[in-house]
Amino acid sequence: MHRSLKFEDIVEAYYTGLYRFAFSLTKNEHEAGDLTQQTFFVYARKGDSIRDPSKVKSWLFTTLYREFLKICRKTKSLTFKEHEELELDMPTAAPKIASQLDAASTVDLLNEIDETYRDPIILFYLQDHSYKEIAAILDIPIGTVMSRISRGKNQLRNLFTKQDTKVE
Amino acid sequence: MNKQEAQFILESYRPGTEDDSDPTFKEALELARKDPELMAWLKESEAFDTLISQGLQSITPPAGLKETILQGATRERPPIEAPVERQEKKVIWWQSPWLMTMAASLAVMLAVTLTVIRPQELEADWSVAKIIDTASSQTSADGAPAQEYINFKDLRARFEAGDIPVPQTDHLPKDLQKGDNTSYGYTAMDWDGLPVGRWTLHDNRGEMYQLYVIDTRYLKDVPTLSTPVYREIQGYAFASWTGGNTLYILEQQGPIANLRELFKYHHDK
Repeated sequence: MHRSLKFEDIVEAYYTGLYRFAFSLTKNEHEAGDLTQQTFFVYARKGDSIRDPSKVKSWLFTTLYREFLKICRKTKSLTFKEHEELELDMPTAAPKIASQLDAASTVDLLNEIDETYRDPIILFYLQDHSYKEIAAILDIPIGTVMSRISRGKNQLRNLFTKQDTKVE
Repeated sequence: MNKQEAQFILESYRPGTEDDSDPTFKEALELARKDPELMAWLKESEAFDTLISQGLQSITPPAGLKETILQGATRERPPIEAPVERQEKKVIWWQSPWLMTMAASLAVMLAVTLTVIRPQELEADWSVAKIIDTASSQTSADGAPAQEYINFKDLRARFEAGDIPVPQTDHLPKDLQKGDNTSYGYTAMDWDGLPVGRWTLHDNRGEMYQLYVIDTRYLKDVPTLSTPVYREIQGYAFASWTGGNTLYILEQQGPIANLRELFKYHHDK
């Protein structure tokens, strides 16, 4: 682990955010807990090599995401749909907000959008990272992150509107 | 920049964050200030974003997760004045409940492993030197996790299958045998069919080591190394020795002299 940072402080600062990210990806409390623990185990092993303390947060989220992808690759064949990123979609109008969403409903909603868009959207809404950091964590270009956020939010709005219509 | 382009950029904008000082959003925000329709869309979009963000922020980790992480990955050093005898009685690799369960499974499955697994059936061609080279490459320059890590599910499966190389305490230098904080990490790896267990250890001074543990029955022509053989690669020192059917490779960042001291101290005691 990084020499100038205490392990306990790192855990205290980031375990909640990491768990939220893991839970949003897995929708499973146990898997999210395992992923969060595994991330810190890797940090305990490899954290020494992080030279810049300001990079620790991104490193942890990157590590958690890679661990998640490894699990995905073993359980199914991921099909990343690479869309033409240059084409701009006209953003849809935001739905009128009349209620609050709980954690489970939010995660359910996020998991209904295409996998390609879901991960950047989750990181966007967790608000822990700039879009540049999101690009680094997901290992995709910055322009692609912005495109996926835009498309993902369009899907999310449509899903939310449908859900609201059903409730009514 | 037209309105559509501004909307595209502003989809990634989150007010009240470092995005406010990011020049990428400046022109688009400027356009929104001049265009009431665009500004109305931005406000509605921000309200929707707030709703989703609040939903995610309401996810709370299960009680005890932080403590489990701290217990599993690190331990406070034992007080210097702590009785040595008491420390030696408590050689505990893991205190996490599920790992303790797996350790119990391991004990049950060990006999099965010894009879069912026939390591010589594998066509592994691993020398001690090759193993050290591979161990050395595990520490990547950028700090990214090595690809050989496996997830908890697979780890459980391997424990259940008894396919886990476990070190014998009396094969280790004395400084790595003592205290509750002897180990705080374990990784099961598969190097082209060669099962490798890597244990992260602390000595009594808090120095960290990586111990690679390999069943020699998977290997060809492994010499008996009753005293350690040392090697240094790119700032990492390695000591190799054998005990029973097990090959041990201890890795520490720094010069070989530190590892020699560890074993010298061990023999002196």
